[in-house]
Amino acid sequence: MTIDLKRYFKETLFTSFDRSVSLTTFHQRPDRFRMLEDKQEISQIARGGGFSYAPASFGKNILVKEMLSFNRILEFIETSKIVIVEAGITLAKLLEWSFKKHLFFPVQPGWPGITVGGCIAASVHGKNPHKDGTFVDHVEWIELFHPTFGTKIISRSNEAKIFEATCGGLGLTGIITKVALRLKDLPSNSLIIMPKKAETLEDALGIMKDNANQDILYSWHIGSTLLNFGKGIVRIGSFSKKNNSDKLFLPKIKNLNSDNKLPPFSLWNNFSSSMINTINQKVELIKGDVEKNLFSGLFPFIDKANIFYTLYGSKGFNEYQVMIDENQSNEFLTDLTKLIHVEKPSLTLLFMKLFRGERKYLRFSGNGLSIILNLKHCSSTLRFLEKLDSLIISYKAIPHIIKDSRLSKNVVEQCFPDYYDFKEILKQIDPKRIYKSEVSKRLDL
Amino acid sequence: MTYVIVGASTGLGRALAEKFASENNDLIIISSDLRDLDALKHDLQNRFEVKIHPIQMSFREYPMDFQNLDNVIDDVGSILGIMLPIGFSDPADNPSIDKNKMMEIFNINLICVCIFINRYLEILRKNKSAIIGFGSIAAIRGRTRNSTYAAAKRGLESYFESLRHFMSEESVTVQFYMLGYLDTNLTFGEKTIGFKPVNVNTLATKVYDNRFKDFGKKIYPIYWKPVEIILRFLPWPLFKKIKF
Repeated sequence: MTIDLKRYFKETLFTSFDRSVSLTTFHQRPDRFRMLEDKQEISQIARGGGFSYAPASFGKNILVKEMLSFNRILEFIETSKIVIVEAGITLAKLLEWSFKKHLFFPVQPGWPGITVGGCIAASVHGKNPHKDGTFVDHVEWIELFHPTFGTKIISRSNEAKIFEATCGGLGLTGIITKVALRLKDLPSNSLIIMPKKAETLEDALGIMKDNANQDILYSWHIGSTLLNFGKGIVRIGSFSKKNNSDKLFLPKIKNLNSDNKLPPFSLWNNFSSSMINTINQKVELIKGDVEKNLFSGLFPFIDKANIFYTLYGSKGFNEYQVMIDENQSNEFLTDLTKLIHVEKPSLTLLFMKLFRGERKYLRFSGNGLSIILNLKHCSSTLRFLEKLDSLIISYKAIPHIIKDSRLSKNVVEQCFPDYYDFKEILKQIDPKRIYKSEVSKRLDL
Repeated sequence: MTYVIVGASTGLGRALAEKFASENNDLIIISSDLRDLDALKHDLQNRFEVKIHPIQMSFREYPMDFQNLDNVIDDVGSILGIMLPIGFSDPADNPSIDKNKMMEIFNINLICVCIFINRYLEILRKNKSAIIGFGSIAAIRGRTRNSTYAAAKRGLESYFESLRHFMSEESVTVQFYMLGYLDTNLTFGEKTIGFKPVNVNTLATKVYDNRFKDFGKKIYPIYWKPVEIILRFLPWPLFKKIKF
């Protein structure tokens, strides 16, 4: 039976966070169970906060089910510190509640408006994945809805295959409706952030290896080849020993998805990025160790994110995240540096994190080093990224699918040994392939 | 003390439930689907440590089943107020609409609301309390679209005027909000003729802050006031051409 979607659903223009894909499709905001659990088998995908860089939560002629009304805290089991929440809850709302109980979720990605369902579907990571693993490592079970089987509880011990495919499964196994998360005791109300100067990427890797078990650990580097390439800062953070900050509040967060007031061109280029980031590095080093309230410590980018992305203009940016095996990290950094110097892409920033975790299906995890490249969207960037694709294939490294709107099926197929297993399990769970997105179409999933 | 919110599971009703619970008020929350209410109950209890009593009840048909609600009200003792942010419209609503659908729209927006208030007037009279109703700018002047809905909401406005008059010597405050477009599923995807739908949480805070003020009727947001005047006095040859 064909359903006239135009008659029943609003049409909305969706744009991927990196601004590379923009299209109008059907949009529903379920706010009651009977809307969410509609048994009609129409192509659809769940959407959380809409912060995915790649178009994973929308697609042409695919009904977008926006989950933000399903954002309730359903149960808290004090003895085990397990909280059961609806998947549309944002990290901000969860933290606001958990802070009051002096608990927290140890894996916090970059933006507090991301939903728990989105964190699972994208298998996000926090500020030190080497110590804390990824988000899904702290998930006890998931309630998944699919029109063919209704709702089902999946976990590592029950329907393990579906659970593993759902964690990092890009929302393609069904709609995540409820999640049980294991919280941790909050050691303190504030964090001490210690910046350490890094002269090169390899230098930063060494510093990070020496501090691998700190609460916060990542580095940022100047990406421009014009001046000071690779110089940067390793941010090492730990919970303060004294509970002396009472600023356990969540500030009002400005919407990051503003389509207005974007300049038609990018203000980030090799000159501006080397200048601005050199100044930032100097300022951060002069300030030295700082004590930050929990919120600013966990979301350090929140004050600068709007201006940072606005400077890319309406054409947006490209982000590339790669995970390289720990034994090959130094060698890869040398080759990456060479490639950057040859191609001279408009690279604004690089970030690095140590990683620890199990790699399954298309999930971005493993034991090694993760490198993020943030670039202006232009033809030289696209040429550079194509060469980077070849480099990561030669290293058997994996890209983060959710970060890259141009990643091809060919690259994903070659990088992820489980690509065909993932396709097979999708066929078993969702034989009619109801759950789809632009990303799944591009990768032929 | 406890407030009753009818239509609490979504939209303005849910926003009111969150606001009143966040101010340490116990609630009786009513809607047609217990699953939605249960989820809201757990969320509010977890976050604000208040008592929440969910009651499944339909306003689609008369007679209504009050048994469960009566029992809960007996248990809680007294109620501080009743809020009825309940509404239902249908895209096919015009004067030729199917009569069963017409009855449903009248029941949800007017008849069952009045009967509900009528049943609990005596309890409300015992304390300083509030009855808060919600109408719509659709009721300013009847037109083809939403004809039954607009008629019901105009009737409700009149009922609240009478109720306020009836209660004028009592400690019960009667308020009626005539609402413009709110950012709820009722308006999601609708043409809002250039007016940006208003955030329900902002309105919920206003309702909470003003709950015992005797202002009678309020148009919200206030910028609908001039629209109301224009629509009321628009000459018929022009008004009949309105398509929205």
